Amino acid sequence: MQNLDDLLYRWISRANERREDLDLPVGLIEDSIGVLKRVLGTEYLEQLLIDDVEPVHFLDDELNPIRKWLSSPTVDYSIIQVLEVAQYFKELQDDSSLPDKVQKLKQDSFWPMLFELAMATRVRRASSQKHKITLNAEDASSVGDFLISGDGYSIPCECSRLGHSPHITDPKLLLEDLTHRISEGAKRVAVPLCVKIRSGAALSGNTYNVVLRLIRRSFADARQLQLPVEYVSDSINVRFEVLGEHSEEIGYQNVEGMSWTYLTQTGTLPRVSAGFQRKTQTSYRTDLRPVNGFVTMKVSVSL
Amino acid sequence: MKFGEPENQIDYYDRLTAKLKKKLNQTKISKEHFGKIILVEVSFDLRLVDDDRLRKAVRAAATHSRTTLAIVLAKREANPHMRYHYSLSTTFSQTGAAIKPEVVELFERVAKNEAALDPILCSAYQRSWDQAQVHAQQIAKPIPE
Repeated sequence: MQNLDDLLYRWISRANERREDLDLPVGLIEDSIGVLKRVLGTEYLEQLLIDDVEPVHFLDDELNPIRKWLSSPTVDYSIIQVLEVAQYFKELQDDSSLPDKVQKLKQDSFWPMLFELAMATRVRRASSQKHKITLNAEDASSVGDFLISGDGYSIPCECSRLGHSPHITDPKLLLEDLTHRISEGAKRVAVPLCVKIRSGAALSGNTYNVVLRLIRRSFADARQLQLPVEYVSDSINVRFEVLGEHSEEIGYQNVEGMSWTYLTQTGTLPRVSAGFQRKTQTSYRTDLRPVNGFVTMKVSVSL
Repeated sequence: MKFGEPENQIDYYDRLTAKLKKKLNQTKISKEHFGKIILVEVSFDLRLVDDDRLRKAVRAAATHSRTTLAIVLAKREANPHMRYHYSLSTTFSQTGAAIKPEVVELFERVAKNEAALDPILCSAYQRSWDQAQVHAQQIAKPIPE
């Protein structure tokens, strides 16, 4: 029988190997795991990490993010997001409604709750003495998810999410997701991989599902080193080969001034979140202008 | 990876308007409240949106609401500092913004902090964005055999 503290200790030890690269001070990882354990509870973490014996499959969208992250201490985005969640818990720990949010987060609403906590924390950090930011209880009488209180007035803030369903059909998001999945899956294969996906059909929800199925089958073979492997369904062809000097060259894609290939990404960037590779420029802009009775203040952080 | 060309593009703007209308209707405020703010996490890149269409989409949802103070769109993104931040697009009611300018200032600070503050350490980023990009590329190099 595994012990939760042993599991968490191992996670801390492995995550600490990445500490300097991730610009994290000594002790932060240990402290954050302590906060996570205290706020989420030992019983919940044992249920996720010990009682649940289903294999942690990184291609599984339905997997609890906390379980996925606490099962992958060598993956940067896991470490970063565990610490981020713990930081929100730390900053909001004096709020009497935090337990309500945590309860909902543990049940079925991880990403919506993360968004609420992230936004409430950010508004709280930015608030001066003029405003007080408090979480609202998760009950029918509450208006909004958190409240901004000023001198003699209050403003309820309601949080929501648009379009993070696994069935979304945006080709760009799907492409990024596929790249990410391949990047993750390639880490569990002992040899460098050359992955080729060719489809006559556009990348839609349906295409994505077929490609994903073929990728999963290919990875299962690749983990057994049964390479090359090729699966075909309709107009979709997925081929996995060992990456070598004689591998087919893949054309470079220029993304915001930086040339790179998906091949390079999966083959040589094993520790980096796939997302930020697309964004290589830093810019920051504030645009304030009145339009038809509304003022639009667009502030975007571009990378 | 090579895929065929998509036939039809999804209309994010219509979806956004529908989502906002729904949330605005659901969030009923009382006398003690000055107004309400709706924050929506979106899946599309705010840098790539058509600003005019986005403004119209937001306005189409909020124009008949007298109690909406602001609508904030947020996109969660990984960045070269090896953190996740939210790119933000905030639209304020002009009337509300004139009466409570401190709330506009509050959300301006929220947005500016996204570029400056480490969300985990809650302190200024140790590197500039350019330095972070260089650092990220260095640590992303292949591990020597």
